[in-house]
Amino acid sequence: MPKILIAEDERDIRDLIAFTLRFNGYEVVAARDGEQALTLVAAEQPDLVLLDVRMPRMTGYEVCRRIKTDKSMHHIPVVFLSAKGQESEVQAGMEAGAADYILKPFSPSELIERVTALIGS
Amino acid sequence: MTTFDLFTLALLIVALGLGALTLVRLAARRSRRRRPGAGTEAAGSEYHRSHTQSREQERDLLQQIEALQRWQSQARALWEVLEAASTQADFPAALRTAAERLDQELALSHVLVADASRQDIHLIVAPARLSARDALQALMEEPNPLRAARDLKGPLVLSDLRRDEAWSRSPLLRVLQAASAVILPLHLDDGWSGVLLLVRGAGDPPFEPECADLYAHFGGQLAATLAKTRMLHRATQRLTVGTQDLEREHERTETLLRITSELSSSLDLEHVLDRALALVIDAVGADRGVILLPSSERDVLILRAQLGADEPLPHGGRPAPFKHDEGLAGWVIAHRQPVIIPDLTRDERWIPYSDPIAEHKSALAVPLLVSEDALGALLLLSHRRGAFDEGQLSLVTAAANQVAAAINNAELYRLIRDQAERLGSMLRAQQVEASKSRAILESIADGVIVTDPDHRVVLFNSAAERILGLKRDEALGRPAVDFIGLYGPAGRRWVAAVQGWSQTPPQAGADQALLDERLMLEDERVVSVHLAPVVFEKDFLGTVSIFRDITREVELDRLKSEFVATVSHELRTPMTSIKGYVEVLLMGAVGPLSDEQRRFLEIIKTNTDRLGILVNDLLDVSRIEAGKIHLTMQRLRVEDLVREARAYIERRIAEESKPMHVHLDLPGGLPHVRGDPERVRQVITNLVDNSFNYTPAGGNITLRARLRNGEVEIEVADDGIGIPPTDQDRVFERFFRGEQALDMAVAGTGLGLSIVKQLVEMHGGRIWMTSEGAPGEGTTFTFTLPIAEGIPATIGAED
Repeated sequence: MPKILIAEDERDIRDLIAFTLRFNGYEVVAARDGEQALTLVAAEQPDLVLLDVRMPRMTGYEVCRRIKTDKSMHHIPVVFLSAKGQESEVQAGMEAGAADYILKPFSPSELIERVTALIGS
Repeated sequence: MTTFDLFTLALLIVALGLGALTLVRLAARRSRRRRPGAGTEAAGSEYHRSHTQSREQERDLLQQIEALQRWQSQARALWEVLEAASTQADFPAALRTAAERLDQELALSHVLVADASRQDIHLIVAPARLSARDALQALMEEPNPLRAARDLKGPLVLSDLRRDEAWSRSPLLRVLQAASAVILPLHLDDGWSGVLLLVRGAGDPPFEPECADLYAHFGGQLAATLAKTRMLHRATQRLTVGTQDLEREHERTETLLRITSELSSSLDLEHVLDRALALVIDAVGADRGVILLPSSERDVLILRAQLGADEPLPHGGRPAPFKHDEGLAGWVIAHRQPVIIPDLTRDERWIPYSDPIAEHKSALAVPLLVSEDALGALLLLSHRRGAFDEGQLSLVTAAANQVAAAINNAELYRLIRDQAERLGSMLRAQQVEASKSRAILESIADGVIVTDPDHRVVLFNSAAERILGLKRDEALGRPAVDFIGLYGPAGRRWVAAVQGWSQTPPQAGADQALLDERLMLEDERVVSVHLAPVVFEKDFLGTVSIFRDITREVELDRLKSEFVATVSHELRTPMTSIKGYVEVLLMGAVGPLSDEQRRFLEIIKTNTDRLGILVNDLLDVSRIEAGKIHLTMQRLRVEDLVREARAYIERRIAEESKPMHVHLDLPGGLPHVRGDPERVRQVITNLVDNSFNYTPAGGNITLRARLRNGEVEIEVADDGIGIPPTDQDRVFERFFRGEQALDMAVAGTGLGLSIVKQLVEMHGGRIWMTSEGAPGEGTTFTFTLPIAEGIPATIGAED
């Protein structure tokens, strides 16, 4: 069962993502901020990381950069989930090493499609 | 020495010569009488032979001397006569003087002078001391010595009439009681001939035949003298006549001169006409005069000036109570010729409209002519019949020409004055307008710089000073390139545009001729520059640049964009929850749903989508306005764009179960276009979405592309509900939504087409729409994209 780490400071959205992923058969590890996300990625070694961009303590970009510069984690694909949809922001995310960039508000079915495309079901 | 002195001298010489000749003849005749056949020498020898003979000879000699003395005195007397006659200037006076002097000098009983040129006898000097009746009677009868003279070449001396068979019967000579007479013909070179008849009575010494030569010579000299006198007389007469002519001409010229100077002294037509009329009336002695000119409509004649009438004319004259081609004036104008009417009562042309008692009897009328054009007529009237003659007519005609010229001048003057006034007021208006424009430009809050075709600054208003931080004196007259380069790349583009226009003047009114730039100044102020060429009739006259300090506006824009971005971001978070949980519920992830539950959840989902579109559109609008959208230009295949759009709309047709027919109209060989792929997709998607939304199920959507005027046109056409004409102008306005769109409950914000239009224009294209506004006729949206240069067209694209 593929393991996905999600980092989202908004609890309602975090619960929605976790529910959707679990409903579609994924194991979910959830973090409330950037620092916690980084710690959990290192500890849990998930198959995929879903990051919010704007988070307390550490932005999603920073978390992504750190994952991509850490040899123990840099192989893990990172997908951003963000309400910031401007080109510059998407570009910044991709430059940080993200595999995809999903814009909020997203539909759960679309999320599952994109995730499946990256790590299989 | 005068001619007369010379003549006298010649006469004296001739007289002395004749005297000597006569003396010799007398001597010879006397010696022949004594001794026929003997010569002069023989007579001399006889004198010595006989004493008796000597005494006879002595007596002879004395007689000869007496004869010579008589001859001499006669010659002197005749010379006196000639001298006296020659002093007379007048021909008849000269003849009379000659007769009187002959009478005195030659002790005549009668002297007669007659004109022999005529058939009947015409006496110039009648016989004195004789009753005229007797003389007249005698003159008529033959033989008449006066008549006979006509055929005589020289004088006829009748020394003893008693012994003359023929002439003793002459009644005239008898009346004159003539004992001897001389008939002296006078033949003048100019063809005139006359006769002098000298008569002596019984008690007088008879005329001597020996003096015939003397009389002949006298006759010749008198004739010459008379000829001269006659010539002189004629010359004098001619001179007198000429002088009279000259005087008349002088008077006429003076009258004309007075008219001319009166006319030229004023350009007031009324005054000019009055004065001219007064002078003409004065010059020809008329009782009344009028000047008539046609009205401006040329249908009636206007009495413009009159003299000799009681009532004065109003200013501008008074219409004559007959038509323009009636009456004497009408006739004169129509025929363009003057006329004298000696008796008005016998002339039909005369309408006695203001002359009920027929006080005027004759008239003189002339047209006022300026090179064949009759401007009017001048009429002169008199109480007398036949008051006007040809001389007056010619004077009045000449005066009328002057008056006509004056009328013409006054008219010309009026035209020129009106024209000058109009031009003057136009000029003043223009000056006022120019000053106003300048004042407006000066007081305008925007900076204004005007350059001439050589890019030199000719106007630099105070706002430009303030905005650009430059003194007017530093800018005026300098080429714009000198200081505008200070303002960075935008400033350089500005200069480049100005220089380009001066080389190839842009078309007047062409939009692409405008240049909009933003200058970033060193003190971080932002200035917008709007540059436009000034083109007048294909000539490039210069440029006008408008500068506006938009630092505050730019800052406000930034704050607004930030606000919109923040708000839309903040909206996305709750929308994510709503949309996500609704979808989870719809997936049945938390249990089965009743139909009603599913329907309500779908409603929530649709409205959340709508909210999402609104937020995206708002973001787009604010970013376009803030200039934050940057296009990444690429070469794009039109076929790909159109096929993608078809695929997109077919997906919607399937997902929303709304059957529609989609058609493609793609010619082969379309060139690549230049555009940002995402934004071009956004544009086409928006247009096909509209077609899909506003066309009922079963309708048609057609996607077309074509090359036209160096651009590619992409067209989305449908046969849906259309857009009413009243809404067509507004469809590209922000937040505008038509009534039908609201009726159909189609989700939308009214921002889509406004964003589409701005995106198309950012690509350098245009967008427009056509619709009959009737349901079923549908709507067609067309937009253009520039061709990607340097790339060969894709050939043979299949459909």
